Amino acid sequence: MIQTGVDPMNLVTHIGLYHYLALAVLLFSIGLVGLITSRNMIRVLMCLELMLNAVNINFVAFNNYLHLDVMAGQVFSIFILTVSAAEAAVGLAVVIALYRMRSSVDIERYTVLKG
Amino acid sequence: MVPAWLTQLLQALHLSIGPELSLVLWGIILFTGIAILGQAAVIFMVLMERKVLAWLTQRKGPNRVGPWGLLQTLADGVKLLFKEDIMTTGQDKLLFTIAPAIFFLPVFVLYALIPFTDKLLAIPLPTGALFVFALSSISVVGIVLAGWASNNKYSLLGGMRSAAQAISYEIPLVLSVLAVVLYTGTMNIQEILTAQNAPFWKWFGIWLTPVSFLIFLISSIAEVNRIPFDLPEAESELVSGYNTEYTGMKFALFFLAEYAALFAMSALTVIFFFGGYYSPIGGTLCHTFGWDRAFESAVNLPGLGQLMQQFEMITWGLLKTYIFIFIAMWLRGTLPRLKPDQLMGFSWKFLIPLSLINIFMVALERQWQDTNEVVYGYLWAFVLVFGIGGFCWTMSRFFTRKLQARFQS
Amino acid sequence: MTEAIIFWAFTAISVTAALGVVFNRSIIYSALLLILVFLSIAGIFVLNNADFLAIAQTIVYAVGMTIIVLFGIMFTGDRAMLDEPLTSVRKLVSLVLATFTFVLLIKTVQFPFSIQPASQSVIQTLMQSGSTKMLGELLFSQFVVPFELASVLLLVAMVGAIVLAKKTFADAGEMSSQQLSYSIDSGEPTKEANSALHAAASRGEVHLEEVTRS
Repeated sequence: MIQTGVDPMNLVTHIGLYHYLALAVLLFSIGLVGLITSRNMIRVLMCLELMLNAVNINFVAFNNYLHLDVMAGQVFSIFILTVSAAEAAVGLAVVIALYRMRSSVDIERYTVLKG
Repeated sequence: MVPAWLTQLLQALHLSIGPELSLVLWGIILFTGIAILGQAAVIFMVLMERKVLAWLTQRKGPNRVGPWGLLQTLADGVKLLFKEDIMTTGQDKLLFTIAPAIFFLPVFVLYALIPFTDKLLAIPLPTGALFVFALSSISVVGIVLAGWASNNKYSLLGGMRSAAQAISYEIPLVLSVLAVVLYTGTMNIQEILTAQNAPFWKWFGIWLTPVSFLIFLISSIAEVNRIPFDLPEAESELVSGYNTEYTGMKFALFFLAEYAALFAMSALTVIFFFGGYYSPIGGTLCHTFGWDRAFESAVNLPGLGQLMQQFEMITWGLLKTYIFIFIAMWLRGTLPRLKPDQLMGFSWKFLIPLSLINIFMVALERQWQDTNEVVYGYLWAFVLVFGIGGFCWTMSRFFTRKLQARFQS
Repeated sequence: MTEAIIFWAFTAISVTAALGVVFNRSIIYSALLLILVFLSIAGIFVLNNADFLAIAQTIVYAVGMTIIVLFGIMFTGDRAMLDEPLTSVRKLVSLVLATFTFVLLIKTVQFPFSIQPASQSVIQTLMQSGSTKMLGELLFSQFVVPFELASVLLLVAMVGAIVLAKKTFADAGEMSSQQLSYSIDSGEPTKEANSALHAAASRGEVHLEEVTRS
């Protein structure tokens, strides 16, 4: 575990790669809970953005600790930023269009494909 | 950048847990000083606006409260402090209260990034030129929240219009600064200023990209929600827009934050396009003419020459900033307000294509600079920017008319 | 040591705010807590030598995404403000699933990666001028094709979002019969769907019957 930069003697004062990965995993799981249990479509989109941000933390942390000479992790992070911004914009446009149809953003009411 | 006495003080107190602590402390000390002086500037600007508008309309401004009305802002502040803090029933109390704070704080933090002399910069960042615009755009969220939390149709409309206007005009703002960043090759504000340490005909706003300067000026006035881009707070149309329901100290926060943003944007105009804190001859006058050395040897104190130079830099910086603040107030007193569709069309259809063409031209100028054909490149760039820009504008007007005609039939 | 203080501060803020995003009843408070999450993640980027990415994150997410989400919330009205609770079985199942994912991923990242310290020149450049120059060199040499594709994607997304969210006109010759039937199925057609239906009936495409409600 020393190789990940984590010193088990003082986990609190020495921040290694593992700390950032653990933070990313925690945010990802919280986003996952929100994604599955939200009834409001906009909250679902917000939790999706949370998950994508957790993945961004992952990329940047790996870039910082494993190979800082080539900034490929940060470049890919920029692409994730771009793609998720585009996808959130289109997603919200879809939510607004659906709202015009049924006056509701409740996910439980959009059950046409069920059964 | 951190003075030696601060590091020695921290070591004497056994508080140095790393080299960052002295940096952070010095940043905090400088920022506190600059912010206090910035607030003094804002207070002065409130009075200056009323006097300038009065002078433009052949009146006298406030002149009862102090000599030349100098205590007027103090009187206004005391009045706003004592007003009743009204909250109507449908409002969300928490959001209503924190919206002015969200609007005010990022503008306040901007003062930490603007250099007033070459040593008086609270937080020197390698990406300062971009971070400034990131901060100034956070305050848009405060406006939307203020419009929503007021539980008032007109406030909501004003808030959303203001957000749309702010994000539309942010693009040409950043793109015009991008031209300057492209030319100097760095986003560090101090290095951009060092590149302008030259006589005034070599400043970026005059020699390199006057188009960029004009786009920045227009966009910065739009970002601060001033006339002619005043629609979110238009008194004759939206009953003062997003700050309709605000009274007392919260209204004062909105009011002061707007002037603080105007000061910050004018300071940025000066920094990016007009040589910052350097004199029009380049460097400082007292250093070029040797007055600082003469003064030093006359009074026999070794650090006094430096101090004189710093004072002169602050003077030049503030003078130029106030010239641009005066221009903004002049525009307020003279121009009518733009309609929403005119406002958005102007940004998206004219300013953005123009700034993109401008970046291309600046890149070409940079290339030609290396091969010593600067004047030729500059002339060609100027002609092409206005030619293609005018073409874009006429095309956009043409298509707007056509679309309006089709939907009215 | 200072890195540890800053890291734990940002971790505490981002995890608390993320929990607030998921579990808060009012969706506007969720959107505001989401700004906090984005800003603290920007702080973590700065800790990891990614200062340009931190500023990009602030501009795109903390400002742009928040404004989009707030506009979406405000366009979709008052009735959507409070989330109605789900059945407890569903909540339990989702928590179990999330805990399982969490444990699985934590075990996955406990892998002895070999950390290579960066070369001195890179560290010098990063300390003096930040990561912008290196990012720029990579983006325009090795990753230029994804860069151009990303810009095309943004253009397409912009056009698509405008087309999807465009308001249909009140005389609604524009609604297709599929859209009309979808909105009628739910039992609560909107005003636009209603007027479109009547317009279609007056054109003779649809046959409406009067239903008297008791």
